[in-house]
Amino acid sequence: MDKALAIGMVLLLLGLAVVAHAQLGEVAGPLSFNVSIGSSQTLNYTIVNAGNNSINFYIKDAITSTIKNETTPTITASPMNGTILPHQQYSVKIDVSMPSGDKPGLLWQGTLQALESTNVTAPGGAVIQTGVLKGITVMSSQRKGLPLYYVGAFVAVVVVIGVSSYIIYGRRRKGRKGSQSATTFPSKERGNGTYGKPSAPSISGKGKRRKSARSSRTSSRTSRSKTRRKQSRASKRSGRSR
Amino acid sequence: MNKKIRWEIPAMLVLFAAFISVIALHSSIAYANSPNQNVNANVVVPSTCYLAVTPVTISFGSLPPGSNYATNVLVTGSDVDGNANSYLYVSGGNWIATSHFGVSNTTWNPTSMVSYAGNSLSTTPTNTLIQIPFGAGTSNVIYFGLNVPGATPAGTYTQTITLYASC
Repeated sequence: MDKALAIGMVLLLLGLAVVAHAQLGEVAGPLSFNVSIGSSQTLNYTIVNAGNNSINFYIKDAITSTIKNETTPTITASPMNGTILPHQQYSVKIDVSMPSGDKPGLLWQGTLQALESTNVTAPGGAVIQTGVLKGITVMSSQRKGLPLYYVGAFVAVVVVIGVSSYIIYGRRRKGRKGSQSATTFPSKERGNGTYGKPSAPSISGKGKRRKSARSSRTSSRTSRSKTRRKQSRASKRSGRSR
Repeated sequence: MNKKIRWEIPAMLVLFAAFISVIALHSSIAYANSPNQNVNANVVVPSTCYLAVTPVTISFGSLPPGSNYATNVLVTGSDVDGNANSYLYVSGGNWIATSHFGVSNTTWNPTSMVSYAGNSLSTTPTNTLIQIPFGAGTSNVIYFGLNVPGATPAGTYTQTITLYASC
């Protein structure tokens, strides 16, 4: 009698609810991140509802190990909560950002939890909540170099600037040389007293074009002396022919 | 001569196009009317584990300060729809009322115990090493016990215990 009473008391004290929680599940396998220093990586964490009722869930902040003198990577989940319809799956994006100051080859381990939201209460007792837990590992790797196309684009820009500068500079130099050098002597003007004079730049009749002062002085001096020499030769010849 | 070549080539092209069209139309009609059509479909079924627990609340009755409850309060976990075994993890929160006492006063154990003993519950998920096999008709169990510290103020305390499947 005493034993029966004791058993009955124990059963009474054990609680009343016998209905099981809905079936919350996850796709098997760890979430492994290999993140370059200063960059981030995103993977999907898939949770599933195998029951006949919708499941409201929320994601708890990831718990990870720490490394002395190193900044722990930032792990964010999106979305942080939601509703999984009956017999449906739900993908939560897990993003890991690796701080730029960390060293490569470091490993952090932790867990990510997806918990079923519950409205059950148990005054004087404990509520049993259901969840799924995923192990995560995060490895830091060397910073990635600039992609090849960035390097190629940079080289192309440098080449274009260089070539265009050379062309522009080259043209300017030619222009200066052309104004400084002795001008040609057109055949029309020979023998008419103006032989040896430099061909004047095209004059529209409205006024002479201005030459640059220095170059016009130099060229006129040179042409004057040449003109004198030629005139003296010509006069000598004409004197002889008489 | 050149004039003859000019009209012959387009004429041949038109004839060729018409020929191809007739064949294509015939094939599509033949295909549509064929009683045996094969459509290849595929699906990837990943390894998945689930957890359903019963009961969803447990009670330790009325315990005076300084007394405890044996680690024999049963909770069952099962995975009817999964195709991968999973391990059971457990964590908990503090007992809360107008006052509170710590989570570690709750213990858990894979087997029933006649006294208050076992592993202390913590706020961090702990692998119990209890495997939840997949498939209908399979399950596994975990037991809980409680100690109420001395001088705990009177009240109706509540705790949340979380059980996780991990695969």
